[in-house]
Amino acid sequence: MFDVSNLVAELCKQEPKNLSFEPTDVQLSDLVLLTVKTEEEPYRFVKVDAENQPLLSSFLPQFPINLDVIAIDSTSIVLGYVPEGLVGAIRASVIIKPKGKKHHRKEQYGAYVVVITNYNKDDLYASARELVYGEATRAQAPDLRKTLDRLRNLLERHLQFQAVQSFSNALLLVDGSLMAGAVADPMFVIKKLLGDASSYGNTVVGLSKSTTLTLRENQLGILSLIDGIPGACYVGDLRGYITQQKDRYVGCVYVGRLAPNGEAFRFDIPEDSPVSHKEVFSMVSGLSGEHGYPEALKLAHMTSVFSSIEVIELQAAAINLYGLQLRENVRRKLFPM
Amino acid sequence: MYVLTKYGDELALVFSPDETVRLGDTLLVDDIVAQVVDIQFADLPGVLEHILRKSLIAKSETEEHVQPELQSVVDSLTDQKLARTKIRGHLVSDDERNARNVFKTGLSEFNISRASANIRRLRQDALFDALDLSFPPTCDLATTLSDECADFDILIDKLGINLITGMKGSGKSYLAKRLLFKLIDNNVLTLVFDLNAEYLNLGKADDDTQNRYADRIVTFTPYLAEETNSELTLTIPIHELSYDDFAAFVNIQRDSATYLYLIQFWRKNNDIAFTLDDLEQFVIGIENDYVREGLLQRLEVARISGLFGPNAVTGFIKAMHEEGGAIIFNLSEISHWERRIAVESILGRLVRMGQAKDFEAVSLFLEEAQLYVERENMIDIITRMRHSGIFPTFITNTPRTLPDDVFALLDNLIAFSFRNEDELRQLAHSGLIDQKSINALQHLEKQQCIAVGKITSQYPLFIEIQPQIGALMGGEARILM
Repeated sequence: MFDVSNLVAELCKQEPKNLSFEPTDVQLSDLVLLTVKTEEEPYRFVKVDAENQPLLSSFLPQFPINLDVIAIDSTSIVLGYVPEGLVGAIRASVIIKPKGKKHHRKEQYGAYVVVITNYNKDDLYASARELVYGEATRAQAPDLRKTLDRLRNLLERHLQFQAVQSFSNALLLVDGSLMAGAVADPMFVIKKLLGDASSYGNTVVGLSKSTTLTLRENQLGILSLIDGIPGACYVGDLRGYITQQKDRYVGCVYVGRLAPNGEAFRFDIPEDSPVSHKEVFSMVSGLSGEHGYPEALKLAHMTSVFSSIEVIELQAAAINLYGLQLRENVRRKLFPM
Repeated sequence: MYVLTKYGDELALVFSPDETVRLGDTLLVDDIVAQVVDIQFADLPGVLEHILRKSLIAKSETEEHVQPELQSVVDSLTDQKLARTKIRGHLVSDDERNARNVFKTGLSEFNISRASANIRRLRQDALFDALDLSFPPTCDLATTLSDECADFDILIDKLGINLITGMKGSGKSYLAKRLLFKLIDNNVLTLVFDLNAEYLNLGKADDDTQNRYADRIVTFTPYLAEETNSELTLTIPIHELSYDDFAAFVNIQRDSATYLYLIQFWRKNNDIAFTLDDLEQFVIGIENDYVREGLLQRLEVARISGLFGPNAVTGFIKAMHEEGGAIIFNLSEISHWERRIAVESILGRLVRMGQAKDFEAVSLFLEEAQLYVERENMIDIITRMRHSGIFPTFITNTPRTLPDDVFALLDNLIAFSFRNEDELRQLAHSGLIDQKSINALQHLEKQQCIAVGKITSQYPLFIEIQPQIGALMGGEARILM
C-alpha cells in the first residue's frame, strides 16, 4: 500500500473535545450517500465551425492484459456539525488490475475523520497541501464544505503521485480532468504529476462524466459533439477550439464513447503519453463494460463512496473519539414528524 | 442492549458486537424473564447493498488502511445482532420467602420502555433460586450453557415419564448412562433394554479394571455361551408366551391340527407356570402320530435354542431393588421377534411384581423402544405401569416413532441436537416447550441439550453434559483424570 501516514496524521490531528455535535440526517434506506465533488472549473466556450470540425476517429477495443491498470477515486462526506465547524470523513480507493491478470485488487485508504472549523481550516489546508504538493501556500482555505473537498482532493492527488512513481509502463485512470491552474490544482502540480508519469513510462487518462466546456454555437456541453455518431469513437483534440485560457488544459481534450451503446465522456490525455492516443482509447475501451466506462474506475468509485451504514458508524465513532455531545436538530425537535 | 419489538410471546432485542449473548441465556427485561432462543444479525435496511459493494472485490485481494481510532467501529453496525427471546414469565417478590424473587409464568402487563428498559442477563444462581431449584454442591452431571455457567443436576425425585432424544451421536445415550449411574448412586434399581450392547462395559473403569459400579450391575444376555457372576443367560419362561408366539417361534402353521393342540394345552394351563417339560408330557399323550412327532421335534428345537427356561430376573429385581443397581438386558444379537417376546415377558413380570408391591419403584430405560415394544404396550407402559411404580425413560433418535400419548404424558424432556424439522415439530407436541424454542436444537453442539419438565421446574434450560469419570461409556475408552 502507498504511504499515507504523514498526510493522515495531519488530516486527523484535530481533537475537539466535548463539543456539541449535530449529526447529518442519514436514512438507512439510502444505499449510498453521495457528495458531489466541488467543481472549480468555470464555464468556458468551445468554438466549432462547420468548416473547421475536430477530427473524428474510431478504434477497436483491446484489453490491456500486459499492463498494470490503476484507477483512483475518492469521496468525502459531512458527518455532522460542531460549533463553527464540521466533522467530515474522507476515503479513497485504488483499484489495480495487475499486469497479466484480469481480476482487480483493491487498496482502500480511509475512512479518515477530519474536523474542520473556521479556526483551523487555513492551517489544516496549508499543512496538508504542503505535505502533498511540497510547497507552502498562503492561500486561504475556502468555506468548510469546500475545504473538506479540497482535503479529499489532496488525498487523491497524493495517491496519484505515489501511483505514477510506483508503477512503470502502466495505465492510470483518473476521475476528472487534467485541468490545471485552479487554487486546488496548481499548474506545477499537474505538470509534475504528468512529468513523473511520463518519466516512468506511465499513461495518465482523465475521465469526466460531465464538463463545463460548452459549445458556443448552441450552448450545449461538448459531450454532445458525438451525438448521433454511431459506435465507439472520439473527437479531438479540442484544445484548439477552446476560446479562453486554453493553456490551462494540460492534456489533449477529447470527447469519446468507449462502447457502441455507451455514454459520452470527456477524456484528458497528456500530449506526450507513451502510447498513441488512439491506442489509449482502445485500451480504455477494452477495460470498459457495456456502459462504456472503465470497470476499474467504476470499482474505485463504488468502493470509495460511503453507505448510510458506514456514515452512521462514523458518526458514532466521531462522537466516541472526540467526546462529542449530541445536539438535536432544532427543526427536528420542533417538527418531529 | 435494547428492546426492538415484541410479537406474541417473543421479544426481539438488539445488541452490539461488544455484548455477549448466548443461546439459552435468560435475560431480565425490567422484571420480564425472557430466554434467548435464536441469535441472528439485525436486519438493517441497506445492509445487502453495503455487503454487496464490499464483496465486489474479493477479501483476499483487498487491503485497507483505516484510521486506527476507527478500527473498532468499522462494521460495528452491520454486526449488530438480534436476540430472539421467548417470554417465559416474570419475577415477583415473594414476601413469604423474605422478599426473594419468584418466577411466575405468564405476563398480563407489558409496560416496558424501548428506550429505558433495564436489560441484563439473569445470573444462573438467581434463576435457579427463582425457580426453586437447588442442587447438591457436588453435582457434576451438567452445566448450563450461559456465559456464567452453573452446575445443573437431575434430581431423582423429579423423574417420571422421561424422554431423552437427539440425533445419532448427539450425546443422548451418554446422558442416559450418566443418569443410570446417578440412579444407582441414589439406590434406585434400573432395568435397561439395551439394543446396541452399549451398557455392557459400564462396570469397567478401563479394559482391565472394574469400577465401583461393577458389582451393582448385572447383565442378561440371550443365548449366552458361558455365564459369569455379572452376565447371565436371559431365558423366557414358556408360559409367559402366548401360543401364537410359541407357534411362530417353532414354525407351526396357524390353521394346522398341531396348532389346535397348542391352543388346547395353553387354555388348559392358563393359570399355571408350565415349562417345556410340561408341554412335552402333554405332547407325548397326543394320539395322532403325525401331530405328536411333529410337535416333539419342534419342542426339541425350542429346548436346544436355549431361549426358554425359568426366569432368574425376578430374583434379581427382588434382591436389588432396595440397594439399587442396574439390570441390563442385552438385546443386541437377537431377532426382532425374540426381542419383542423377551421384552414383553420382562415387562409383564415387572408389572405383576409392581402390583404385588414386590418393590416400591424401579426405573426402566427403553432404548429405541419402537423396535421391540408394540404401540399398545408402549401406551400401557406410560399409563398403567407408572401406577405400579415403574418410571420409564425413553431413549430414541426418532421421536416421531413414539406414540403421541408418550409426548402428552411426558414429565421430562431432554432433547439433544436435531437437524430434521419433522423431529423438531414432534418434540413440540409434548407441550413442555414451544416450537420456536425447540428449533434452537438445530444450533446445539454435541453433548448440549435442552432440559425441561419437573427436573427444571418447567423452565427450559440449555445445558451441556459433563464427562463421566471412571467408566467406559459406550465402549469408548475414557481417560481417568
